[in-house]
Amino acid sequence: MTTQAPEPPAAEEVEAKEIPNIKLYIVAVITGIIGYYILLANPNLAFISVILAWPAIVAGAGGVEHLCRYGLGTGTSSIGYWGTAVGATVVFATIFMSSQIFNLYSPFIVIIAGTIIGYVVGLCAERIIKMKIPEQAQQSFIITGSSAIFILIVLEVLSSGGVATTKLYYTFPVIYIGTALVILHPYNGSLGAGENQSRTLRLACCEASLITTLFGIIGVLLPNTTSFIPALGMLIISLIGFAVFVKIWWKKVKEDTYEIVWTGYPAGVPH
Amino acid sequence: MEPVTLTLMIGVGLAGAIAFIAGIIEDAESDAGSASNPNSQVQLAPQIGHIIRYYDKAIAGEPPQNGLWAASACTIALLLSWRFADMGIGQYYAIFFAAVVGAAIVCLVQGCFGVFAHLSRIASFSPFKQPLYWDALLTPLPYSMGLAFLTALLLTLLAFVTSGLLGNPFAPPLLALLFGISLGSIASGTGDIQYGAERLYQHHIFGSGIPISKMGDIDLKGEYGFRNSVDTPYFCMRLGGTITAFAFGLIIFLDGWTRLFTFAGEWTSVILEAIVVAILFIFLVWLEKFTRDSYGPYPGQEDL
Amino acid sequence: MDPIAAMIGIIIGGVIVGICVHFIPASAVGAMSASTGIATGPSMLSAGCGLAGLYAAGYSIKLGLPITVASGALGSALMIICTMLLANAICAFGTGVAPVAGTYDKDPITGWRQKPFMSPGTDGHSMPTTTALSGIIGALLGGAGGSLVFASTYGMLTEVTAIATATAITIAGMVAAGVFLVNCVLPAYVLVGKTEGMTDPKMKKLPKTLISCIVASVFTGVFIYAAVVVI
Repeated sequence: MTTQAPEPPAAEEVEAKEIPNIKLYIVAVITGIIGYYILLANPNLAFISVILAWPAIVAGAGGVEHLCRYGLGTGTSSIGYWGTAVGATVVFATIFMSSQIFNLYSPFIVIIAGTIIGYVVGLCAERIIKMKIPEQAQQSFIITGSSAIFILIVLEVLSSGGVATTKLYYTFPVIYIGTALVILHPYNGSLGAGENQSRTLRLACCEASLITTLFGIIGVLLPNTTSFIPALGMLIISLIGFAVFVKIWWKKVKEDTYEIVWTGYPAGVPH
Repeated sequence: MEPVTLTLMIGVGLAGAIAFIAGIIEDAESDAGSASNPNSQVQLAPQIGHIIRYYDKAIAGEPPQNGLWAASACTIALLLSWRFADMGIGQYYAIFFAAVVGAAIVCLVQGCFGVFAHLSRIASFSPFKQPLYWDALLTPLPYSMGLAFLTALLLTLLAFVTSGLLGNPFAPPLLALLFGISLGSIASGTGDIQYGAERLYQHHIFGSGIPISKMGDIDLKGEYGFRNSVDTPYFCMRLGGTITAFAFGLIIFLDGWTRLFTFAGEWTSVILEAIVVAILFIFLVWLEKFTRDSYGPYPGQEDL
Repeated sequence: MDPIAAMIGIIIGGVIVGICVHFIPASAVGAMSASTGIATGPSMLSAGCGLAGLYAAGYSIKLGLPITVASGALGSALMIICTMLLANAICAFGTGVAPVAGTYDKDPITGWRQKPFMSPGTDGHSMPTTTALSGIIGALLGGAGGSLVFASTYGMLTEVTAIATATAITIAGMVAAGVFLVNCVLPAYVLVGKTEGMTDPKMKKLPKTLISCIVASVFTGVFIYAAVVVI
C-alpha cells in the first residue's frame, strides 16, 4: 500500500505556482488508460485502477475551479451537473456497443467522444454566447473528459472487467450524481477570498477517495459474485487513501486558517 | 388502463404522506447547515466584518446533494434487500431494514462532506480574520447528519412506494435520483426564502425584501448568546418547512391522484393534470390579489 | 421507432429543453426576496422541474409517444405551479411582501401596477400573474422536451437492441436526464443566473441559446445513435 500515497498529490505537490489544468488532464488520461487495461487484464487488480482513476477527479475539479473563478453565469453546481452529464451519457451510451460491455477500444472512444462534445459546447459558449472566460473550451473538455474516464473505470470495476449484468444498471444514477458532486464540490467547498489551487486539489483527492468508498460498498453488495473481490479491493484502498488524503489536506487547512480555537465569541461585538 | 385497486389508492396516500414529511425534514436539513442560496449571505458576512458562528455546510447546492443522498441510499437499500431476501427475510422487512442501513451510510457521507466544506470555507475566510470555532461546527453537525439520515430514508421509501405500489416503470434508484433533485430544487425555491429573507435578517424590518446594499449584514445574535446554526431549523420549520413539504407532497399526491381515474381512457391523467394546473393558477392569482389588498403599497411609494 | 427518427427526436427534445430555461422565472437572490423569480438558479430549477416531468412520463411510456410527451409536460407544469404558488405563499406570510415584477410596470394580464409594491433597493419579489404564466409555459416545454428524449431513446433501444423492457426504460430515463442536464446549463450561461421569464429583455438572446443547444444536441444525439445502432 505504499504506492497510493505519493500518487495523485505528487502531481500538485509543487507549491507556490499553479499547475495548468491541461497538464493534470493529460496525467489523468494516461493513468486512466493504464488503469483501464490493468482492469481488463485482471479484474482483481481493481485496487490499482482505482488509484489511477483519482487523478481524473483532480483534473475535473481543477477545470471547475478555473471556470468558476472567472464568475461563471451559472452556479458552481450547474457546471458540475453539465460536465458529468456529458461524461456519464457518453459512457452509458458506449455500453450498447457490444455484448461485452467494455472492450479494447472503449477508453479511446469514451475519452475522444467526451472531449469532443465538451470542446464543442465550450466553443459555443466562447464564440456564440461570448462569455469572457479565457480558455473556456479547453476547461470544458477537461471537465467532461475527466468525468468520462472516472465513470468508465468505476463502471468497469463494478462489472468486474466488463461482464454484462442486468443488475449493473441500477447503479447508474448514483454513479452519475456521485461523480458530479465530487467534481464540483472541491471548489464549491473552498470558495472564498483565500481559496488556492493547492488546497482545492487536495480536497478533490479526499472527496475522490470518499466517493470510491461509497461505490465500493455498492460494489460489494452487487449480487454477481465476480465483482465482489474487485469491489472489496476498491473499498479497502479507498479507505486507506481517504485517511492519507485527509491528513494531507488537514495540514494545509491548519496552515491557511486564521486561528483555530475550541470556542469563543467574535471579538469587538458586545454580548 | 388497469382498474383502480385498493393498492393503488393506498400507494397514492402513502406516497403523498411520505413526500410531505420528507419535505419538512429536507428543508430543516438545509437550514441547519445554511446551505443553498442563503449561503451566499453567510459567505458575505465575514467580508463586511461580521465574524460568524454559523455552520457553513456548502454542499454543492441543494438539488445535487439531495440527489446523491437519495440515490445512494436507495441503491444500497435495493442491493442489500436482495441480500437479505437471499437469507430468507421477507421482502418487505428486507426493504425496511435495508433502507435504514442505506440511510445510515449516507448520513456518514453527508457528515464528511459537511466537515470538508465547513473547514475549507473557514480557511478561505482567513483574509477577514475569521477563526475556526470547533464548537460552532460540532454542535449542529450531528443534528444535520440526523436530518440527512431521515431525508435519505424517506426518499428511499418513497422510491420503493412509487415503484412498487404505484407501478412506475423506472428502477427505484433512478426514481430516488429524480425525487432528490426535484425536492432539492423545490426546497431551495420555497423554504429557503424564509431562512434567507427573514431568519438571517431578523433585525431588519419585516415586510420588505433585502436590498442589495444590506446583503451580508446578517443577524449574529440568537435568542440567547451568539447564534449557531442549530438555532435555525426550529424557526424555519414553522412556516418554511411546512410549505416546502406542502409543495412536494402536493406534487407527488396530485400526480398519483390523477392516475386513479379512467373515464377518458389513456388520456385521463393528462386531462386531470391540466385541470389541476389551471385551478392552482387561479389560486395563485387570488393569492396575489389577497396580498396586494391586505398589505397595500410600500409606505411612501403609493404614487409611483 | 425508426432509429433515425429517434435520433431526430433526441435532437429536437434537447433544443426544446434549452428554450424552456428562458421561460422559467428564476433568480438566486430571490432567496432574499430581492428579485422576481423562484429563489434558485435557472438551470437548477429547470432540472428539477424537468426531472419531475420525467417521473410523470415514466408512467405512460408504454402507451406511445404523444401521451408520454403530454404526461411529461403536465408533470413539469404541476411541479412548477406548486412551487410558484407556495413560494408566493411564503413570501406573503413569511416575509410579508406582495408579488412584484421588475421588468414591467403594469401586469399585461391583470393590469395591476407593480412599482408601488416593490420594496426599495430590490428588483421585485416572487411571481406575479404574467411571470407565473411564463413559468408554466416554460415547464410545459421543458417537460415535453425531456420526455421526447426519453421516449425516443426508449424507442431506439427497443427497436435495435435486445435489452429487456424494464432495463431499457431505466437506461432511457438516465440518458434523458443526462441530455436534459447538458442542455439546461447552456442557457444559464446566457441568463447569468437571473431571468424573469418571457417579459425579460434577455429573451432577445434566445437565438444564441438556440444555436448552442442545436450544436450540443446534434453531437449528443449523433453519438447516442452511433453507439446504439452503427457499432
